[in-house]
Amino acid sequence: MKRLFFATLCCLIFSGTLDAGTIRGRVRAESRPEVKEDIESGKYESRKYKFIERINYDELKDFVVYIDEPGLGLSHRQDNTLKVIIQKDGTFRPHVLPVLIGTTVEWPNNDDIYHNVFSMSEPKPFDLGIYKSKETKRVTFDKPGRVDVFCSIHTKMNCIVLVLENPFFAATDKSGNFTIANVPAGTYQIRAWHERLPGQVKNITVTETGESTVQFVLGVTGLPKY
Amino acid sequence: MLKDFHLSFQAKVIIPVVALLVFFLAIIVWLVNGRITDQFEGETRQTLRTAEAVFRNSFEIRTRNLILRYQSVANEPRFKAVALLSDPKTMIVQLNELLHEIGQEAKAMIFTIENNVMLAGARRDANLNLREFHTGSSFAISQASQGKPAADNIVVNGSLFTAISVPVIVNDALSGVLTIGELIGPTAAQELKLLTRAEIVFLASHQVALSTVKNPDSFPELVRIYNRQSGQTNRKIEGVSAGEEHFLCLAGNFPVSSGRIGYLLLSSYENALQRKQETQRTLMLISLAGILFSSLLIWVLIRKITRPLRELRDSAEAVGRGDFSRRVEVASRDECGELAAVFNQMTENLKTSQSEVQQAMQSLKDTQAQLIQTEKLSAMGKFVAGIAHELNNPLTGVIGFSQMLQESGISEKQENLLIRIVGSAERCRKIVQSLLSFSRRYRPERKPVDVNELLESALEILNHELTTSNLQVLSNLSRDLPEIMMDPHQIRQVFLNIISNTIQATEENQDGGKLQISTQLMKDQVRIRFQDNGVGISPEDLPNIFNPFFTTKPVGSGTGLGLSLAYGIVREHGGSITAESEPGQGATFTIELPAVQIGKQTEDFPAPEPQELSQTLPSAQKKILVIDDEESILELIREALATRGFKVDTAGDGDSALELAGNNFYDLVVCDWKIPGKGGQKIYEQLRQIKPQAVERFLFITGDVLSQNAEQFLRNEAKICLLKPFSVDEFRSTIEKMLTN
Repeated sequence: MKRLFFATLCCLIFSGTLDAGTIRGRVRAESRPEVKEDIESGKYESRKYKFIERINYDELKDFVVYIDEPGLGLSHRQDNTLKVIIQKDGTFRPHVLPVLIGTTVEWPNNDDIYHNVFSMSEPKPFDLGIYKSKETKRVTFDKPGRVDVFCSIHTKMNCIVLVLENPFFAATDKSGNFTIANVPAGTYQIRAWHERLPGQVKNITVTETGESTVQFVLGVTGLPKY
Repeated sequence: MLKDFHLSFQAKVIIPVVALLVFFLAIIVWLVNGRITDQFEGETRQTLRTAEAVFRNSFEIRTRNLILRYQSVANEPRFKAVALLSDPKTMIVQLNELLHEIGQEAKAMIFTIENNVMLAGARRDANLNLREFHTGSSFAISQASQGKPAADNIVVNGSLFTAISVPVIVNDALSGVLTIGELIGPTAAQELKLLTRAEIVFLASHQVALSTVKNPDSFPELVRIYNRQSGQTNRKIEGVSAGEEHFLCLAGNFPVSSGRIGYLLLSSYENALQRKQETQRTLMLISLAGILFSSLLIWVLIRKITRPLRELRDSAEAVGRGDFSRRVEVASRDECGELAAVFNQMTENLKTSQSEVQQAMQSLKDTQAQLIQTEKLSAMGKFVAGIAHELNNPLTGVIGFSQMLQESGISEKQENLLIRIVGSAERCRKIVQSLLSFSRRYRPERKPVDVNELLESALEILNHELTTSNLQVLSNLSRDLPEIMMDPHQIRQVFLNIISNTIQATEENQDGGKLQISTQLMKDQVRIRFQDNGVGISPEDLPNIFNPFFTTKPVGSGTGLGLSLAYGIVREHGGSITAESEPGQGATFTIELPAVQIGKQTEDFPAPEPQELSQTLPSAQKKILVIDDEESILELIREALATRGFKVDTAGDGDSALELAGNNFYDLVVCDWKIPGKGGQKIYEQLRQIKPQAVERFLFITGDVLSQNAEQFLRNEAKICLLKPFSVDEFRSTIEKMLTN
């Protein structure tokens, strides 16, 4: 929060004259509709959901919302701070980290057991080896895309570094709310992402000073019939 | 009660046979039962042994599988990487993770490095002491330290574990040993139970560590059995009951380092028992059915076998009733058949012997009848003789006095009357003589005679009558007859009587009469048979024909003495005369005379022959003593002798006679045979003692038949007995004859 505030402050200072708006919104996942029991045909489920993973959609977190315009606003990059993903209690925190391309991420081990950090994803394959807390290792992500990071010892440990090409993105908070500030006015495609759900793209128009809101409901309800 | 209780033949056969059957079946059932029991027990034993093999094998496979499984765990790069780190905490996390990845039965994991130092450990349950587990699995760990995975069964905290130790080799160097404690728990036990189909009990340090047997009450017993068996090389399967169930159990040990873990396999033989009981029940039922069926069969057979017997019984009954026509069918050629044949033979024999018996009875009856007849006749003879004797004295008087009257010179008219008197008296005398000869027992004159010749002479005598009455005589005379000692006149008289009867009996025959005369020698008897075809004799007359005065002839044509005479004569000769007749079929008279040898001729007793009255009297004045109890006889004799010039003294009894004879001399003594008091014989004997010369001329007279003894006496003494009634002439001539000798 501190940082955010600081960043915002910076933004206000440096781009006070900029025509920029804010996008607010909420992303949530929705499970498939409750099946009503039909008197005549029993409990019929649409074939649409036949191969859908049955998970609790309401508890899904770690959504990322970003404007899907590759070259947008790179001229006034603002986010080149060091990002950190810590290893604590056998987990990576945060689980999803959206970063602007070229960002360096630090991987401190806060457990007193060995961990290993590696990725074999195409944008950034790396292996930091097995190390303990004393050492801090860094990786710079210089290609856009999704980088899945694992621990070779603990199979359950994994996190995702989402390398994005413009700074207009945000990870949702616990409630699924997000805010994207300083967005240049214009009409964009805005995309909601989740590691396990199909993404959703919406068009949004950002006014110069106004606040645009957009609501995403991810899930399987919107799937086309086949 | 018991005496009345008797068993039939069938029962006698069936009861022992059925008893034997039951006995044998019982033995068989017992044997089979034993066999079945053995078999079932053997089966259960076999099952147990198999179960044990399966159990051990399954356990081994399980261990092997566990080793393989944990080997793959240990060979995972991840784990190897962690092992290389030799970091306890990392390892603990790792182990915990592994523990949760692996199945529920893995309860503990430890990782040891050199010198059996435990680097890290993880456990599923808090109450599991890892240190204890480590200590327990040290053997397996030490084995694995050699580079080969090993397994051991251990006890930790009273629970059984299979400790699998796997060496973790990184870059050809042993970095440590991963040991997993796999609980041998209810799940494993159930699996093994399913495989082995036996209840499984694991024992550790003489305690039941794990059991599929739910009943804890039986545990001490199980422990005892285990303790008993586990030490032995030759394990014995023994029975044990847990609750309601019966088991056979087998104990064994695991090849473990500690040597304190064993197992018991319990094979329930409840099913076997049930099957055994079912089999036994079936066996019993079959046996019972068999017994029943066999009994029935035997009964039927016995019925069949005894049928001839029953028939035989019925036939025997019939034969007993006298029905000899019954025959038993000889159906088979066995003993029954033989019996039937023998029975038939017996019936046949019985029949013949019955007829023989009947014949014998008949002959006995005949004999009896004859005996009765004889008795009757002899009684009659005695009676007749008595009468004749009684008549003789008066007749002697009548005849004697009549003669005397004739001699005394009377008128012609009186003479005529006297002649009539004498004639009548003579007639009476003849009758009395016939009667006497019927009953008389004097010995007839004996000389050898040819019976055939005698018969022929009799036929010759009757020739005239035979031809006039048209009676045809057929002779069948045996030519080899011996001569018989007999009185020919008397026997001829017999023949004449019989033949004249025949003439009369055949007179009315239309075809003309026929008489068949046959003689033959029968052993020592000569049989003379007269068979005619006359009117026959009626059965009611037949017993009476020899009775004196019995006659079937019309009144006046017969005296009824002919056959009586014949009977007396033949009997005198020691023979027999019998008559057989069927009315209208003629009659048969059979005479049997003893064929006495000629050498046996006895001295003749000369019968007194009536002599011509000698006119020349012996010297008169001879003294004669007459002894008789009959006054009239004394009178007559005195008269008759006195007229001839004899001097006669009379005595009425023996004493006075002896007195007279003792005191006087008599030329001749005439003495009656029968005198009340002293008889003639006694008088004679006493007189001989007193005066032997007095008895030299001694004449007996008698009106009776002389007995054998009397005759013998007379023969011995060479004395004559004159039979009353005698005529005066007869008497006189006898006297004179004696006096002249």
